[in-house]
Amino acid sequence: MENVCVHNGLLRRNSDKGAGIMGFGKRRRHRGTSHHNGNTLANANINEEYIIKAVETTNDEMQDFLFTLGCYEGERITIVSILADQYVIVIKDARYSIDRNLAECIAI
Amino acid sequence: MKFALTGNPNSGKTTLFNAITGQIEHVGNWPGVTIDKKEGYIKKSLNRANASITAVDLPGAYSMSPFTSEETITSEFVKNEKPDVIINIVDATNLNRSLFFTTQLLELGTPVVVALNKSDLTRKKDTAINAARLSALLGCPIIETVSVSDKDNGLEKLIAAAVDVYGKKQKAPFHLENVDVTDRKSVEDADKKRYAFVNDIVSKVEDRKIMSRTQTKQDAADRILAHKWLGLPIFAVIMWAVFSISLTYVGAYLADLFVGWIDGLYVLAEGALGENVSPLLSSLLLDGIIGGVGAVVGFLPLIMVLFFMLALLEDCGYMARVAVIMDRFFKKVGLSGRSIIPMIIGTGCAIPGIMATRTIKDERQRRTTAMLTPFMPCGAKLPVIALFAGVFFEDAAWVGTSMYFLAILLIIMSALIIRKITGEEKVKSYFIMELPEYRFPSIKRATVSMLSRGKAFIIKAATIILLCNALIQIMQTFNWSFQVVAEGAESTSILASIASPFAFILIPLGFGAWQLAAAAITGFIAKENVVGTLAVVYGITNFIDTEELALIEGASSVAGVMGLTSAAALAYLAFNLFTPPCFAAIGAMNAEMESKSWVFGAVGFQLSMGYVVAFVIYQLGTLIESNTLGHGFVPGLIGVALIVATIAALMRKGDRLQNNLIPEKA
Amino acid sequence: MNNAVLVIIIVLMLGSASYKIYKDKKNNVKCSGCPSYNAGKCSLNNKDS
Repeated sequence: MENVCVHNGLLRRNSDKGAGIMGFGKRRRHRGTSHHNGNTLANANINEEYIIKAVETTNDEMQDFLFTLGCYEGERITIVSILADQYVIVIKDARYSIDRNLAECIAI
Repeated sequence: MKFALTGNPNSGKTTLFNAITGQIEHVGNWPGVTIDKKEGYIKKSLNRANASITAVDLPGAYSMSPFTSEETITSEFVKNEKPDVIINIVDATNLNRSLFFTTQLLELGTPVVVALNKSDLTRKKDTAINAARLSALLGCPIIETVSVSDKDNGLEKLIAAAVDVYGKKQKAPFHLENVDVTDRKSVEDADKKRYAFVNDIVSKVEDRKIMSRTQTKQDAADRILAHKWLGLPIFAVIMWAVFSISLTYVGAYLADLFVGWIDGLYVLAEGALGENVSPLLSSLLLDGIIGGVGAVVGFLPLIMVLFFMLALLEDCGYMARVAVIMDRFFKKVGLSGRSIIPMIIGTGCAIPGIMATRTIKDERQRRTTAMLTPFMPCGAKLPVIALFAGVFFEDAAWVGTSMYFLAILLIIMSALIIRKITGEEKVKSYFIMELPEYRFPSIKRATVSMLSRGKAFIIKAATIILLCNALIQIMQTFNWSFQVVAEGAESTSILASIASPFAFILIPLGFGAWQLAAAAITGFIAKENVVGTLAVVYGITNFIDTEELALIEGASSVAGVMGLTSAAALAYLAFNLFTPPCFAAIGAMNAEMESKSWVFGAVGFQLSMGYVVAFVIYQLGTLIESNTLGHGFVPGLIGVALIVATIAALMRKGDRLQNNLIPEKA
Repeated sequence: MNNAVLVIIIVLMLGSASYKIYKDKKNNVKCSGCPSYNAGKCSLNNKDS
């Protein structure tokens, strides 16, 4: 089973280019990119409420699972804190800890 | 009548189940503690109906569409076994998500009663839920409950309401026709409409003053406890504190008292037997049964204090944070965050830990996790740890703590090796885990958990351990021609002759005595046996009160009797912890792995791992301690080199496998 | 105390221990009184509970 996130490739390419110009090699993970299609939860601000645009995992089960938690387009999502590569998020009224891979799949 | 308890993970189903049936199932403040359905009769005091009612506690589920196997159990149970009433436990602090599942349950045609649980927490958060309105909108009874409290918890009302709806028809408030279940898009659209319906209901009945996205003290606590760098050291300090309280201070004090009683029993039994009985029989009873079982049971106070502390830790919600901390490390070695849950359960007992691996979808990950879970020191290994910490290291708390962290380190290393051997490339896995709220741990729940574990410990000591010790006593008393072994010729006994060849292999690890080998072998039946067997073969009745022992044994202490240096003692401890677990756990591995070659591979791998770790600890420890190499360094090194070479060859084979696969894919 | 009484005591102890293990095996309890989980009822098809 290979759970590669479709958004990932796109994001990485963009950020690589940005990093090349600006020279922030190490920082690019957090600065991310402001490309309008590439805005994912992985480069969102803490404490700001976002509307989910799309959830695109290649893993159908994960997609369904996120759906039952209330994580689907049109719903609100907030990052409460970022701990290492874990993102503590609030969907509906519950807190979850998700990893970076998953955060990158949630477009906002 | 049969009631099914359903609800989201961590909504308090098992707590409610325990409260209404009076049973003591394991609860923890984190999702996924229940992995299998459990049944019990509802207590008479709550049951006003005349018929007896069975309650079935099901694993948590977020919806009827199965994602993990826990959810499959729930949906299959409700669909196939047709319970008379479904009690849907709704987490009042998260009404929105919970009601999604509720609306699905209402469609099944089975009468549903909603238990609005954790209603005390909503009050604390200034959230008001209009239960009457909700009941009218959903078309089913809603009872507010607080399953963790003893009084005024609404449970009697809940049972009465459930009996009341028995056999009645309820109308589903939300039903969509023309949903093509085979088409993903169609199902998704239907579910979106369902969520819209739920959102609408929630907006009508819920008055929330504090938004759940506001930062709380809990989030601040998370930022420290699950911090990138601080998280792991904090975990270490907490574990150290747990061990230090249970082994060095409180537990040790209680154990001293307790062991006094056991010694008293020994003396009493000795007196009651008198002089006229056969010495063979009296030593079977005194040294074999009372001595061996007593040595194990002597650790009961230590173990119970330890269980109590671990229960507190689990109850307050910290364990979920540990999973979050560990995910980062596990991901690097091809496991996912999901693998941590079985391992945390495995600190209690490896068997439920191994069974919990079935929630992992990926086959290779599941098998690897089942293989590595037994490395976690389980409850049965605690007496062994306590024995060696007490006898050789003056009850130092670092012994236990370091064994836990050594276990984690070994798991990570092993996972890396297994990934290489199986030759699968790095998978990108997702991790998501609900973070339960921290709460003040309940002393009562921890006490209940401690007592039930303590009871089970005694049962095990009185059954398997007792039988094994009696057998060991007989085997060391007789030789192969069933004559009593003469004093000074103990090495001719049946036990010695069986254990000696194994002891020979163990010389490079620092413990080549047949007594120690025999104890390690009986450890495969149950790990507590290591303690019992050592007691029997060395004729020691207790390991706790070492000062008193020193008097009995003359100048030599227990450590002297065993003839181990501290490096060898630590190696022996590690060997017992990291070799294959007990047979019951191997059986569980067999059931979950569904592959004979994996099971044999796992046992072989665990044996080699135990051997290598013990060798490294002994030889390195001896080098540091006395600047010389330990016994049998060269043959041991050859053995270890062989093991390493075999594993390396398997890894290279795995690599080649992978390289061959890539062109095929392209 | 004489030998016969002692033999009876020992046989009784061993017998009851074996009986308990046998009963647990029959009920598919994976290990008798596993010290930590669900009061020893950690088995899958647990008929005991």
